Amino acid sequence: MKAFWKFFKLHLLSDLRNRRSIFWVVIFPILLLVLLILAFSNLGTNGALNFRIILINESGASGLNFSDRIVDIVKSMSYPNKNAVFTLTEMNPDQKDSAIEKVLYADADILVVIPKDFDASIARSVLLSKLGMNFSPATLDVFYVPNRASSSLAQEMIGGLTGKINAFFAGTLGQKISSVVIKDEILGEIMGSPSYTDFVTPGILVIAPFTTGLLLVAPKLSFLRANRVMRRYASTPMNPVSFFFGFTFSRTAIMVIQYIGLAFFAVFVMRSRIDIFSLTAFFYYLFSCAVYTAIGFAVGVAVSSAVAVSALSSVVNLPLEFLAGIYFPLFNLPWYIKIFVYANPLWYATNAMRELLRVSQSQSPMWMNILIPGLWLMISMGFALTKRAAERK
Amino acid sequence: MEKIVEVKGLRKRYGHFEALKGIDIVLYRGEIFGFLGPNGAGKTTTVEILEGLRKPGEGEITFFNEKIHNAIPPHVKEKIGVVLQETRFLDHLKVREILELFASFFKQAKSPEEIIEMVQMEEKADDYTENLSGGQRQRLAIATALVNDPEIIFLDEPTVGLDPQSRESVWKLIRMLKNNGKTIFLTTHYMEEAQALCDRISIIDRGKIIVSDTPKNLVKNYGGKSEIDFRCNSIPLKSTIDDLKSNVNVVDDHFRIETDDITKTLEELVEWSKKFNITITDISLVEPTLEDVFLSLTGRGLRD
Repeated sequence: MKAFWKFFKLHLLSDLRNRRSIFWVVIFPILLLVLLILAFSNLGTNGALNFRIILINESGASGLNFSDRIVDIVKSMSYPNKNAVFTLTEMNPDQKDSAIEKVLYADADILVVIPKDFDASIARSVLLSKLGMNFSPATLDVFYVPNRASSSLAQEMIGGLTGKINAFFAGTLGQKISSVVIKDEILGEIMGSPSYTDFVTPGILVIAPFTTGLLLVAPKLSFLRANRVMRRYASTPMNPVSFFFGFTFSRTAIMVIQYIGLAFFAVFVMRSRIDIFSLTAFFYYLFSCAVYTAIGFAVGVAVSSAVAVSALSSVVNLPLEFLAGIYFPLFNLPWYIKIFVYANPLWYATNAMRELLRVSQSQSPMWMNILIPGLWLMISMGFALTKRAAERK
Repeated sequence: MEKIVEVKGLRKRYGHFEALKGIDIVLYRGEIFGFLGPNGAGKTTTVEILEGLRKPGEGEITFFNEKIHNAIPPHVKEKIGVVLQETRFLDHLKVREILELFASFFKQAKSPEEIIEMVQMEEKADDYTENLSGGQRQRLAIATALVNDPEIIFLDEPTVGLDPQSRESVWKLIRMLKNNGKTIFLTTHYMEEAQALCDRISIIDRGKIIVSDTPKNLVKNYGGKSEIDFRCNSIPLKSTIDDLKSNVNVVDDHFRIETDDITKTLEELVEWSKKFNITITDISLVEPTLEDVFLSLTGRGLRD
């Protein structure tokens, strides 16, 4: 126990006295948060896009065929037609729940449902308008995730589509007033309309301990190995468990300091609306710290020189961060990139933290947010321990 | 003399490669034992097994009359101090803190102040380790090996990379430890270090100990002949030279006598110069060293 406390205290002191560590651990994440918010709060979108749309026509057997016209209009805007903006998937009404899940988990950008009474509503509105009476227009149910740029933009496109539909009815039925309106069904949103600050804060709370895991675990471990300090420890009667826990807990303490500092800075300075007192978020954060420390152990054990650790850390760090949807929502990714996203522990951590900090619903099921990073934890630790054991033989 | 460590028939294999082919070592209390060998001879494997860093293969190891079966147990490690080659410590920690850390590994440990005084680092006690010079860092490494007041200290290349002044100060410290009754197991690449410090030396080559003795006996038995080089004021006649009992060779512009007994040969040379009224204008002696012993026994230099 004596050795555990000494390791804990001295490793912590060693980092807190190191200006470079303080920069990477405390100042850099705050700078990143500030810079991202300043740069991207008013982000616009340009360029040609291809939205994945799911269409469900519940109004199939009414004898009227207004809903078929809607399907035709959407098809005309979909691939392989010229100037298409949608990739259309038609699904049956009994697959509605599955379609909603696809939109929620980013397998599709938007779901448009033509309700059962759509044809009858159109017919009624045409009749009532000809009689000069008030009527309620028919609705198209649109399910989307406002927090995801691709979904949000697709919803705007559908908004534009209603103009085309109404123009069609005006031309064919002589209907001058809007017959069809959009009824938005918002998915995955918890706090209303999250700002970019709300969006990016959970991601920064994921990057910060991950960076610590790579910068304060891997190089340190590599230093201790390369300079034979670990061997020196091994020549004493000290139980290696004392070192492991003392070192690991000192890293965790730094990560907790990061969490508190960053969360308070985000809320009180940058006006982020995250739920700073969410205990579940904090516990998930601690779980993430264990995962990142394990990854740091694996990198530190894999290579013995500080330069190689640095290079390997960058190779691991950058792709994982960019494929986690921390800075920008991920959409329209090719399948081979998606494989990396779905294997990326940071993506799950970002999703989980956004939900647990009450920003938006997770894009992946919560059990996956624990399972995949948990696998990373086990594989990384398994690798580190096996390699160390082999080295000692 | 009391045996502190005894190794009998120690073997160690890495796959198909046999690093140690049955070596025997004995360490007696209070001695400085030098362990020399070229790179790849099995020196590091032996030392690491004795330091508890590697598991032994076949053979018998006894520490303080206790047989070691698998790895060095913690209660034996309580009595061992280890100094590894070119040790570095965590940056941004003070000398005193490093000693506190190492003291926490042992059941019984001396206070950091006591150790700091012993290695004469009082002025550096509150300095960060990264600000220490090479010599000071090595003194700190030795200090960490003393916190548990060990009975035996393993010093692995303790002066490698140090300037002559720092090396001398480390030697002084090692001698002080010997005077305090510590047993020291020293590996080194510096022959003059082994010659200056060690009471006994073993040389290992290709996994086998090829010789063990005092440095003096090793030089005497395996170092070859001493050489006496001299010049005269005039070139002596061949008959005059032949009068010397020793075999004289001409090398460049001077004469060389190879001898097993320098004193006797010098006396003879003085008598000879008087007899023929020859003035010896320049004379130099080259005695064999451990380096020569090493070369003659292993066929290669220590750093090869």
